[in-house]
Amino acid sequence: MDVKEYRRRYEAELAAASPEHPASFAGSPEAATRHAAQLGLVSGSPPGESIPALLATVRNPKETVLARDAALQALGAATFLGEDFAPYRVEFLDTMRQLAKPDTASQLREKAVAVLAAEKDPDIQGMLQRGLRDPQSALVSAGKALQLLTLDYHADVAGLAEEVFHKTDDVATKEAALRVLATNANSQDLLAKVLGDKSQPRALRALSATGLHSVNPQRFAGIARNIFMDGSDYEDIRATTLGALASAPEYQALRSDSTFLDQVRQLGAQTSLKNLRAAANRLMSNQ
Amino acid sequence: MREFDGAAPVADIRAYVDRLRASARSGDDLVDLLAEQAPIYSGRSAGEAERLRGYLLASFESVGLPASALPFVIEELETGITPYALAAAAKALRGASILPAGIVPLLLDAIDRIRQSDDVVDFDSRTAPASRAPPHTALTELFRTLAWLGPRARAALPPLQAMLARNPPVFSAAVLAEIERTAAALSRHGESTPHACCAEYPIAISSPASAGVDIKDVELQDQDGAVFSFGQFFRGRPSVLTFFYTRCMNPNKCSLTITKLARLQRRVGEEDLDGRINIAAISYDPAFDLPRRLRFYGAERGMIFDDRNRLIRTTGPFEPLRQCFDLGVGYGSSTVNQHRIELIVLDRMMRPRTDFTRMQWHEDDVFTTLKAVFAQSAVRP
Repeated sequence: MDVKEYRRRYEAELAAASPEHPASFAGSPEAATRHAAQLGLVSGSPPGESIPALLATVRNPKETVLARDAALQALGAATFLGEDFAPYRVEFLDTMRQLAKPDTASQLREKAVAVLAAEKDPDIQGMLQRGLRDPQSALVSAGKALQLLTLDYHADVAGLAEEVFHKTDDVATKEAALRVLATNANSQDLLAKVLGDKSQPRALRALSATGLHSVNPQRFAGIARNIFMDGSDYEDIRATTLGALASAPEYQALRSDSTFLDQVRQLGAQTSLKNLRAAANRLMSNQ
Repeated sequence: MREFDGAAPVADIRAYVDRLRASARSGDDLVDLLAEQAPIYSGRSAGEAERLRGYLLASFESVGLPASALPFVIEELETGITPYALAAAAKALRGASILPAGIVPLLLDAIDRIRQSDDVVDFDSRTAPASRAPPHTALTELFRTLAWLGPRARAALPPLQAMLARNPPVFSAAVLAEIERTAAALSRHGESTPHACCAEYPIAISSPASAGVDIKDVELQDQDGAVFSFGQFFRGRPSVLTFFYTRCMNPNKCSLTITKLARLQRRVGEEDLDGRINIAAISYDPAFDLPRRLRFYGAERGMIFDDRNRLIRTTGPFEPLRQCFDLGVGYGSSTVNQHRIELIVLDRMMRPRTDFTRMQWHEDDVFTTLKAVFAQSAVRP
């Protein structure tokens, strides 16, 4: 998703949220606990003592989704209590596993899946992967599934992420796939192809630049140089690639390339784009 | 023994293991499947590999724990961080007829490590869910193993009593009940001294034989991007060689290995052997561990780099090194899925002289070995 678009949606949801109906994603741990207290779910007693009541609320199908969600958010905050939370952890995880099912209200299900994915739970990782292969059985959207699977470097989902990238037309899902692939050296062909392809959405090209810079700096340098020297490419893409070239030690050779440097110097003096000028100046000062 | 590869369905492997569990004298077949590099784990995610290995380990409770499997169990108890793997090791221990002497502190350390990350574990895929015993957790398994030791684990009584006395409690009610049962089991029979049951702690130091794969021309690259062959760097001086990778998630393995390597490096400097010994660690994950990552990772852990002290990756495949040193490392489709701890002392002809595998090594032991190899090198031109 475009950053500006994300910000616009976020602000709209914040504006729409009232103290009684907080936007579910916007609650900080403190806000979640405060809201749970407003609903009478937690008391002013020591931190650990509210946890059984919160767990009971989350599990209770007769409670409103709003109350269960508020309790779940308060529990999320309680997980940071360390030893005070430890006695309830197993029950908490069991509750999350109960919620991570297709028939659970989506806002509870998605949070439960996220908790288990953060725990690197192999069963939930398996479910997320099955959902990517068979969207009918998916517990969360494809983009969310990929984002959650990225929490574990060792979940080994690069192959699946490549499949998803090729199958979907949704740019946000493609972005999530590229974030998975950004640490996988075997995906560098795809990253290079997207980065060099002017017809691809710029958000995807920028992510590919980050990924290729991470897994194969030499290959990135070659493509980045071409992008930069090609005056017809988008300025923000040129800024992104130049920014990467400006600082990393691997690109010292490129920073001694006089043709390239002349172009950078010229562009730095002429461009009105702040990012591009800053990247050009940084590169010139690092040579 | 049936052969499985990484594509074999987990259910098939579990069914095979279940059949082995039912037969006596199947322990050795199970041990063969524990090696990290075994084909059974190839291509699997780390989580799946760990679950499979845990299922195998837990089987030793019923089939008996052969001596050859004990290092695997101790390794998990010493370095494991996940509830499933630790519970499996605890169950395996209950199949042992002879136990190593330091086992009680290892169990207590393991309990401490997962005190705040306990989870339900299940090692039974055979019984229908409705007929199974109520679910229990990894901590429960660890305490049950202490209880199984009985008076032999009496040294654990004070820590157990301290756990019971904590207020507010730091364990669930179910685990507290298990601790109470364990404390009672440890106090039974009025015995006051440990049973004469225990063998020496099996420190895994051996004199390895190289597998005969010629690696002297394997191309390497260090943390600064310098490229050289294995022979160019390692020939001519005794060397300490360890293996690691920067994406390792277990702080008791790679991160600690490089931290200890840095301490060893300082020790070598203090003893005036600086520059006469190579100290190096090679990444299991060369495609990801590019020079800048190696430098950052090493520097963060106290390594000081120079010509004789380097973090290294292969520029091509890692496989020749894995074969040459018979390394305990397995791979998923994109990175390492499991590995053991490895440290090898090479002589100046690049021959492995001693290795410290699976269990934690100590700088003093490695330094002593290194000095001996150095002294031999000095008298043998």
